[in-house]
Amino acid sequence: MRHLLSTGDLSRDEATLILDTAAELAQVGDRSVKKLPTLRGRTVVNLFYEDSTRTRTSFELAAKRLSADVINFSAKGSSVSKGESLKDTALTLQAMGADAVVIRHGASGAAHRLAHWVDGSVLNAGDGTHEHPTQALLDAYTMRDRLGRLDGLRVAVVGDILHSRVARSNVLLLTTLGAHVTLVAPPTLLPVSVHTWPCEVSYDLDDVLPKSDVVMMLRVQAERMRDSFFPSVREYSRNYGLDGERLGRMPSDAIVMHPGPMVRGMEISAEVADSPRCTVTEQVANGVSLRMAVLYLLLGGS
Amino acid sequence: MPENTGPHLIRGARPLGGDPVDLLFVDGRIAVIGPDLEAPEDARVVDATGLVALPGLVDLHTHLREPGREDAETVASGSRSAAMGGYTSVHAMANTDPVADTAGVVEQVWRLGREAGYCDVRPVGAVTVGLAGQQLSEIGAMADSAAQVRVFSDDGICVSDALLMRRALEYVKAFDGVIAQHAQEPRLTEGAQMNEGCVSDRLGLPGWPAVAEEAIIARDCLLAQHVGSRLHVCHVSTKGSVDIIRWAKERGCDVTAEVTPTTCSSPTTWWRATTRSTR
Amino acid sequence: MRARKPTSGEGTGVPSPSPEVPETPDVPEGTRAVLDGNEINRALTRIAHEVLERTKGGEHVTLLGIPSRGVPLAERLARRIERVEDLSVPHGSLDITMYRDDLHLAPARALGRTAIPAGGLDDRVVVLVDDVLFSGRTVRAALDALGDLGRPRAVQLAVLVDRGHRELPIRADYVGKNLPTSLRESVTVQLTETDGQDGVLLGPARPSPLKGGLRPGSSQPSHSTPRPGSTARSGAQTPADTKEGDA
Repeated sequence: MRHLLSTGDLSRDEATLILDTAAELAQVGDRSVKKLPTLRGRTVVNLFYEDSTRTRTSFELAAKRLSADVINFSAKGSSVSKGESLKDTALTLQAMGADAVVIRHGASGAAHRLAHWVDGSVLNAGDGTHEHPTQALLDAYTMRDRLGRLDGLRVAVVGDILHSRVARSNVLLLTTLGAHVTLVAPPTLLPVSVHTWPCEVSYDLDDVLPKSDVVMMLRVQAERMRDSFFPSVREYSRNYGLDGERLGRMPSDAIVMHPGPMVRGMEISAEVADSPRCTVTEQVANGVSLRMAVLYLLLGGS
Repeated sequence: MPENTGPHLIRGARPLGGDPVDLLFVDGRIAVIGPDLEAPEDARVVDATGLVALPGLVDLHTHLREPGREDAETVASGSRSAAMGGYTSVHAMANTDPVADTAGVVEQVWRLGREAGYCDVRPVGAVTVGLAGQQLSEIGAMADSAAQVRVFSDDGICVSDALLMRRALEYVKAFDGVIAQHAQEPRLTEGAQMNEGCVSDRLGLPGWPAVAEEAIIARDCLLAQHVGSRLHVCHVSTKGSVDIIRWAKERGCDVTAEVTPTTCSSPTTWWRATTRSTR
Repeated sequence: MRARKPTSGEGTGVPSPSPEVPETPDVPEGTRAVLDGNEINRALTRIAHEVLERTKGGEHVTLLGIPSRGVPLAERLARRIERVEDLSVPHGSLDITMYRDDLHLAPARALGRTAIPAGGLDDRVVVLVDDVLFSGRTVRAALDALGDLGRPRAVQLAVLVDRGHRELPIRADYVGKNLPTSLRESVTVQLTETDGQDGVLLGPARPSPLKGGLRPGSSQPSHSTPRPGSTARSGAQTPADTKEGDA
């Protein structure tokens, strides 16, 4: 494995190795010295064309815990804002000797393009509405950590599937790992060819919840309403929002996940967001271990 | 157009792919067709053994880019290419800079074609001013100009307003004109990057649904028949479009259509062939 | 251990440290057993007594096995100490993969388990336990790892086999068997917990994937996957290339 561009590229063994490695590395966060010497002398560049403090910080912390040198290269206030192309930026980073580039970009396929231009490893930290592989991996890690297994697990992914890179990466990864995914959304927020995806599809959240071990709520942006994907926040929330009453109809050990940032009152009620069954903060903590594992497996060897 | 009027004798060509014969041209017209013709004294003789003789072809859809993008193409370079490919007439689309929406611009293009002298260059007039889809351009003035424009199109942009399209179809009836439509429902294709389907969904790229083309074609066929006018559909690219045009012809709509290799090539196949290549 | 055909001249010029080798059932061709299960048990019992002596009753001792075969050895030592002294000895495991100095020589390896006993390592007498002491690079890595985990009062090293050929100034405090070897030989430790049987085998070095002229510590590893039986290989192989057998 040289790059991490899509969870569709991971075999079951590879994905499991990443999760197992993350489980070992999770201990580092509990130690007094939260640092390993493994990537000493390696350079990791965070190339973020979209603002994402959460993901960038997670990658930065992961790389630093492995003793790599980290350069944050954000589009604002850099040569990018002066009109430099992605390719020229890539070649600049290449010339500086970057061993890995973590890229977040608004265009689907940006990470894939970058992988053709640089010698180092490319980690896709979210490209347009295509994929967000480390998010899906940390989600799978969190499920396995909480529920002890992934094989046969029933996972409902609810919300704006159409525009969600998290949903795409999760469908591919969870299927590879043996879980059963059901996508739940109004038909306007589902891709037209969703029936070709390796998952179930439902328009009825109340029908799916009692049969789910995990419900993953995706953020729904209010501007989707202006584009007529749904009539009103109230109607969306009534049909597809997760509140305490709906949570009560799930199996007692079921968990609620969210990739963040949450929009309370839209897809998730404050009551559910603050519930101990909601794993949002665990997901953030697991994200660091998971990204350490990916960086180690991509950069730690020959 | 400089006339090459001396007699020409073409030997051994196969008209429309039939049996080899000789063709004698006098004053730019076919004078005699027959086997083993005698060459007049001053005739130029061309050996065409093994070749097929066809009438000059007409291209209904070219972009000669002049005025405005002479760096990409000129009337002279484009019409010369056309002549080399067997075309004796080309229609030059209106999306130039300035747009061919006045008699002045279409006459300029027409004259440039005459001066180049390779083939007939027939300018296409814009349906709406500046291709903006807001108000009809001076269609009548262009029809009456030296260029005698008969085909009108906002090609590159769809005339999406149904009422404006109806008016344009009606207006060109006065001089037996035709509206060539770039069939693309604009709202259904905002930000679209590839054919909408399983590949666009998987890649997260905004899709361009077939219905965006088919809906406009269906609407325009109905409009053309309703007002009794002529419609031409540019670069048809879906099976559904072909079905609709066939259906419209059967019920008596005066519609023609064209197809091009570029608008039928599929990035889907390419994606399938290249995916996983960077693992 | 993978069966290999004996090579001509194998074993020649090599000191034979254990002339009377007991019969062990599963000894691959070209390989001979230098310790059997009983001898391993006796060595561990002796080490248990030595640890208690050296640490004056073993009250502050924590045993940390280095994966993979150091871990069951540490467990066995803990049980023996408990039997002798009626004293519960904290024991765990310490994976040193992330501290290796040769990570860049092979594809990224799967990590072993690190399990530090409750109570931590501060002010403890940590006894590192591994199967084979060879170049000393694994122990160097383990010392680095310990430094990030706490501040033990002292660190000691117990190994089942010391085969020599040190590349760092490191020695073992407790040795089950000193086994002088040639760099053209490999030492394989098998334990019931990991391999289904106990035994220490001496055989020819694994053929190197690289062309000659190599010396220990300078060549590249051929693989990193877990194998049945840990082998400290030599000759054309770097002693540091695999964790196993390189305490």
